[in-house]
Amino acid sequence: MPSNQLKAQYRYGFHDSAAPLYQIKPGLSERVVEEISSIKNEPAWMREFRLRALKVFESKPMPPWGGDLSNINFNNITYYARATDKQSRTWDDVPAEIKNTFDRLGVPEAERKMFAGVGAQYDSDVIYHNVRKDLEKQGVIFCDTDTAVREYPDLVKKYFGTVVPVGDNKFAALNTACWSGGSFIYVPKGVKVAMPLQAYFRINSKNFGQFERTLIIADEGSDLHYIEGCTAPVYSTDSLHAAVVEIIVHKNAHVRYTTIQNWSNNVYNLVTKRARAEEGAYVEWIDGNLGSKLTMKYPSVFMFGRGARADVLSVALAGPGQHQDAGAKVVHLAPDTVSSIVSKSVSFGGGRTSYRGLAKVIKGAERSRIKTQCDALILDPQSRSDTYPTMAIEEENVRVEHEATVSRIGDKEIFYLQSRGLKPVEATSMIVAGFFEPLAKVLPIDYAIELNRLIEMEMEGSVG
Amino acid sequence: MQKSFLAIKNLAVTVEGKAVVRDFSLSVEKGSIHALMGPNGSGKSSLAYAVMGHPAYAVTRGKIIFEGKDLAKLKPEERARKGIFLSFQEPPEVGGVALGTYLRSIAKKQWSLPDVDVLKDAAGRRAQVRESSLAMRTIKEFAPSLGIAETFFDRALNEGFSGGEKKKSEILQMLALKPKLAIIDEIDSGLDFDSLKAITAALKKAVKDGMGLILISHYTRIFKSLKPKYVHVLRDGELIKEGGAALLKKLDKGGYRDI
Repeated sequence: MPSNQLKAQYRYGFHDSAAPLYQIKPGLSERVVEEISSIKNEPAWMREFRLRALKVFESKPMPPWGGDLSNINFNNITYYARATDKQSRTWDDVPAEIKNTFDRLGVPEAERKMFAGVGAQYDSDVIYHNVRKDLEKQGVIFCDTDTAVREYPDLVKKYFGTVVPVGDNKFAALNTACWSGGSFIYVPKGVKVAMPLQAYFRINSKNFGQFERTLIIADEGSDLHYIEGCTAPVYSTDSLHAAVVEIIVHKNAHVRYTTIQNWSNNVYNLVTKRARAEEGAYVEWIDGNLGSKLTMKYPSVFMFGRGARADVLSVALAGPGQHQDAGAKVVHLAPDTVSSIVSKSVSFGGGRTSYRGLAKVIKGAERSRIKTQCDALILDPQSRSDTYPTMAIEEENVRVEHEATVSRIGDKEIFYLQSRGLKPVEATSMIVAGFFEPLAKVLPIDYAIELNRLIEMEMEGSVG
Repeated sequence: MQKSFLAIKNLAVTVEGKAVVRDFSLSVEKGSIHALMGPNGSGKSSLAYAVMGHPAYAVTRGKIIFEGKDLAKLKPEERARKGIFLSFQEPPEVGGVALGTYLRSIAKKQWSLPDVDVLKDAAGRRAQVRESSLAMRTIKEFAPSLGIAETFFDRALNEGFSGGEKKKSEILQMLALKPKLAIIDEIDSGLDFDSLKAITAALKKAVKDGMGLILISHYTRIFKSLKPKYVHVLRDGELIKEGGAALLKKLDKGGYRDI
């Protein structure tokens, strides 16, 4: 039975031995939060914001739903580690060992080929940032969020924490208390950024907590595509990634946010991603979840303005020892709003996928339309897939569709494909790649090729 | 003596210890049609699975020789790459991959040259691309005669297909792979008249181009247009009668009981 022997392979599991210049001792307290704030030389309002968030974090219980969080020990985690004392604008200025890591991840090469701007975060800090001059001239701001607090305090103060409030959930509160790094983007009125902006997040340290904070503001009629990738080394102990992403999409603007997450199997990935869509705005979340030990992530769109639109494509691959609890939330708060959620998940080798989603329409959001499609593929009897859709429809004049399919690939199907000349591993990769085609289709070509390669690698080792 | 390219010699097959084929021999020449007939459960499909190398169908005695090579040690995919094709009586549904994408993949794979690094060898690569795109063209040209719309190719392989659509999918896959030997199991069930006619024509052409064809059926109807040179009748896993086209007439009249 070939599919039983599937085991995951991970090629980004290396770590470099660059010693952090500075790191705060493991454990979380007011002192730790104050120290993070003072290292960053922050204004008082941000420090107070952090301390308030810490109280919320401490008062909130762990979520009783989702995945198994019982093994997270908040006292063992390092909450801040600085690898270099400056941020570079050219890769040559990045310390050699760290640069080597990003070279191995292909980040500088990708930048040359297809991006208008790139940020690279290594543990707590963004160590590299560059954006094309022509975009800067048009008023596009793309920097790390720490820099934004210093240089664009008005914008940050106006929007920070408005989409994901401090008290939203335990891990968003943790992020708000300890945040470091992340991307800040402002696209002025009517500016259309033709090439995507990219950020790459890398954890290098052991038992580490990465808490980047991303804030994106797309002003009226603007257009932006933002892509992020994530990897981490393989360690025998666990790391925590708890990011918060807030996006404000003004009237008639469009933002596409693409994530290809490929964490190693020892990372808890607990992320809050949410967008606010004003009148006629259009938000797309493209969320590719490969890797990690446990992911709990439900990109959300709150449609505040009439005619706002949201598309979420959530894709998850769960192998041995992995649980992908992913999905989406769409909240219709205005008339004529339209949303679609497509969820595709594959589980193999004892892995588990769950779709968790919320579709909400408030009274008065007339003529809203929601379409949800969940497809799960289960490659062997040891693996599992569940669906937890929640509907809260308060308006009568709406159209709501929900479809779900579960396909299983067993010995019969594998033999059939073998009889057409495919090795079992080729058959499985082909099915999985085909299943993920909707994701590959919306990615830049290099990303799509990389995705197929990742899938094949995850499936390797299947032939005994 | 004409050189046979498939030779099954004194074959015995068991499934979970139960004998399903006993002492069966058959030899197939290029470009010839063989009818493999028999009542339900007589071992026809088991024989087909054994030739394809299904792991649950254990060959306990005898040999299957294809183009002079004993197939015993070859995996199903290696047999397929050598040019053997089995059209399933009940093809499984495969979620995920779209039929069109799938057909292109298997065609490409089949025509990649195993001993050449295709990326380095321009000639090898060209052959692969040429052969697979020729196969895809054949499929595209053939599809309308099966009453297939373009959207058919966007659907997941066999998923939610009707019985007839699954048979059409099998034939399209055969066209993608251009096998040297095809074993076609019960293609005539669930198909409308026009589609059956188109499939018959496609099989006829393949045979004319040199393909060996073993047609499995328990009805004689399909053999009216695809005239077999040899007819083999199985019962309880054993060959009980062999003959030419005249045997079909006899079966038509008296069924399997009279033999």
